[in-house]
Amino acid sequence: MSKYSHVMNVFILVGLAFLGFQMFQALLAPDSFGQYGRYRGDHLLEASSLATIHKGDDYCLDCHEPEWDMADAKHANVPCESCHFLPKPHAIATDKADPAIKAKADGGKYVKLELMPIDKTEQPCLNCHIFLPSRPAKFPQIKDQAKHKKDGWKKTMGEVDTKAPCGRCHNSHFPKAFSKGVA
Amino acid sequence: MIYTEFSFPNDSHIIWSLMIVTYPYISGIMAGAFGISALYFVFGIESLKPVSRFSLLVSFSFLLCATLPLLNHLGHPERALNVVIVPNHRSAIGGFGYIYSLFLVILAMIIWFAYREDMIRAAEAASGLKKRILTILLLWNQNLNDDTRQVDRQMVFILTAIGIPSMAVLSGYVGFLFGSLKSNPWWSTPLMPFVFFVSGIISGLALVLLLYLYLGWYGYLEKSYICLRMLCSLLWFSTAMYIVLEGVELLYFYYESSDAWFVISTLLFTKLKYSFFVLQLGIGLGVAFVLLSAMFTLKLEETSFAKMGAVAAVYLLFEVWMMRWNIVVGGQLFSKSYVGFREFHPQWLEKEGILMAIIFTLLPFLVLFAVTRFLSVRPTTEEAPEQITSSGSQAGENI
Amino acid sequence: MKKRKAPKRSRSRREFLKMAASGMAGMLIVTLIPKSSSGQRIHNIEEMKHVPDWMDHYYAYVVDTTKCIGCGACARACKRENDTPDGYSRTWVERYQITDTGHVYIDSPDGGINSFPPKDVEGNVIKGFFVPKLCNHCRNTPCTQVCPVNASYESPQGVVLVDKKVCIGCGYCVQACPYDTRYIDPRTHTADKCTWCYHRVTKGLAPACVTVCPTKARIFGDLKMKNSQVREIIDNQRVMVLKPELNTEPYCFYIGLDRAVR
Repeated sequence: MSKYSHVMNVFILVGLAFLGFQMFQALLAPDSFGQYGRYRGDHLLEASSLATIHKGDDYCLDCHEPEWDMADAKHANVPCESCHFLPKPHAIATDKADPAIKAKADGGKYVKLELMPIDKTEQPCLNCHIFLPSRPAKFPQIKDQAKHKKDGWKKTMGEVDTKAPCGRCHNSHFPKAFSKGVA
Repeated sequence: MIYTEFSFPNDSHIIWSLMIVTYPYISGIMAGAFGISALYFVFGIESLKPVSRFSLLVSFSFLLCATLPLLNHLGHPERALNVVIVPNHRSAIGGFGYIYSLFLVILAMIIWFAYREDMIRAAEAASGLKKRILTILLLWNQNLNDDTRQVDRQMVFILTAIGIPSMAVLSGYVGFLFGSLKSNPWWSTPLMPFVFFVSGIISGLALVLLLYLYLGWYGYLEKSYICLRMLCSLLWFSTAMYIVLEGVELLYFYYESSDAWFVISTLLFTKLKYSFFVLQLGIGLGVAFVLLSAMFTLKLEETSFAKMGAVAAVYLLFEVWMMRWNIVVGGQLFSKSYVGFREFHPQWLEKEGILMAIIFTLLPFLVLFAVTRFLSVRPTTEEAPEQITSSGSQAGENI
Repeated sequence: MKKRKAPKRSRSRREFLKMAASGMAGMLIVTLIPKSSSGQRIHNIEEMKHVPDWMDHYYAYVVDTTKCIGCGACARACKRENDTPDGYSRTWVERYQITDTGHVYIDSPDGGINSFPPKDVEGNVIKGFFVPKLCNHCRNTPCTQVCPVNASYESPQGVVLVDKKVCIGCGYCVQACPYDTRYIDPRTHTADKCTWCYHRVTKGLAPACVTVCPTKARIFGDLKMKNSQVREIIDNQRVMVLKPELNTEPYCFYIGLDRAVR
């Protein structure tokens, strides 16, 4: 027996273990690994196949005719979903749509499911229009809410109701019509 | 500009907590213990002979347990093998599987060759299941003569020589993992791997020193004052190295006075005031270094030398743990805005809590105990068993 | 008051959008939204897989900090669109207030998701602005570099993604990101981050934050597309990136970035 016989045994074992590891690595790697790069290629499809929640303005405008002339309105650039949001599908494509809506909806593909609720408190307005020194100076902001309401009411009806929400005077789609927005 | 406190919104949790403190602690001990056996097997420092094979076993036990805190830390431990199935070759952790396995194989082979003769003897004496297990462990080869003994010694020499850089890579690698992150000024320094390596060596030396004193007391290991002195000298030397490294690192940060020092100075003088200056540098490093220096300056009895060495070793084990804590946790106490700080208070019973950290730190000792049931801790098998017990009981009073 | 009616309302808006897309005010959405074979825009997204050339894009993002009003619509939309866990943000808005005493006050309560209540500071605010933050989708990417299992990677479109089926949850990428845009999702125990709404952009929609931004402070687009607004801005305006000294090569560019921005 050679004096190296046991050394040979060890190296054969280590070599076999290494080969086994190589096979194991090749067998267990995901199928699509390396399809586009060193990652699981299928994930690109998975990541892109998630459902979208926000739909974008054009989606709204297909069914809803806006009540204002976009070119003039102050809020023309404000996307619908800045203020309106329904966490469920608002309308879905179907063949069983109500004929009345069918006629109106784009190609009769959509049926209305639920009304779009809107927060009619001051909060959605104040999110953008409360005075903050960090906001761009040109952006219309309300420094003193009480004074703003007082002045605004004086201009119109003469009586002061400080609890009235913004919507009492302003149409949120068309705020310019009533006030200049800066107090 | 004077910043008021601000943390980024996602910077609310410490992701790397006690488990990531425990891992480098365990792997550092592994490296230090291996270093001792390497000094004997490769560089032939005879004075370390009494602890040479024992250090191998210490290193092996800690290496086996090193991955456990990491596994416990992972969000998906069941996918841990992805690190070797689909590794990212650009990632510092991506190389972990390879570096760890390489050193594990080398260390297992060293132990196999170093203990081959013992195992053959045991297999000849044993019967039944134990004999069968030993036969398999010996890879069905019980060829033993002077030639194979020489081959075994050569193999141990070669493998340990290869093992030294592997060990250095594996223990310094944790430092690289932290040091290479440009996002974190407290970690991002090229000195980090060396700091981790040297402090790992310190903890390994300190632990082997303690175990040597303990086992020597009960006669399991051959008592040798020269060996003890050698271990303490090495400990003094690596502690001095560590002080220089840590000092250079801090001095650089301070003198460069960049964005990094902006946050590091605040961190050190507020959140890490006690754990860094008092616990790590003062109590841990300072006391231990003074003790070690005193041991070699004063003319001491062997017994008091051993006692002081033991105390210094305990302090150094504490120092190294605090160093891991201050690096790992300290680096996460500030937000990446560099102007916000947060608190971290580990809990006892969470997934990565104090209890788990204690369990994972003590587990290697259990493994070591189990390993020593099968493999003798004594340096060589040349001496007869009777001699061991008699010399052990006598030597017990010397140290 | 009475609602004023315009004769061709929906048309007018669409024309406005088209005008903008041709470079006047820039409505990238139009150029992004694909047309179906019949020329109609595709809306029923659930039925649709991808736009035909969904791989052949290279995206970039521009944040115009001079326009941001800190309303938080983006942060709210992101939370709805991507269902981010509580306490974490894929995108957030920071408020900066620099006073005449030389102090810089920064805050971002809940990532700005409920907008910003007025905050008292010492001294007078001489300079103030909002800075929206999100994943910078870097090219020299620190987070994908450190991912040990290739769970985090750069897609062919230049979007940095996390594969939640591969991620082991080690947290290394969270440590590596200098912008702190990553977090470990407490529900899945995997890393998570802004994807520029990958599921939207591959279907030809803009990311949710861009879709809802009322002041167009957030602009998203394709660098491969001529006349896209992002390309026009990057080519012609002076844009900056966050933490440029780290050489991460972000593809999220900033207009009007102040030196105080962290």
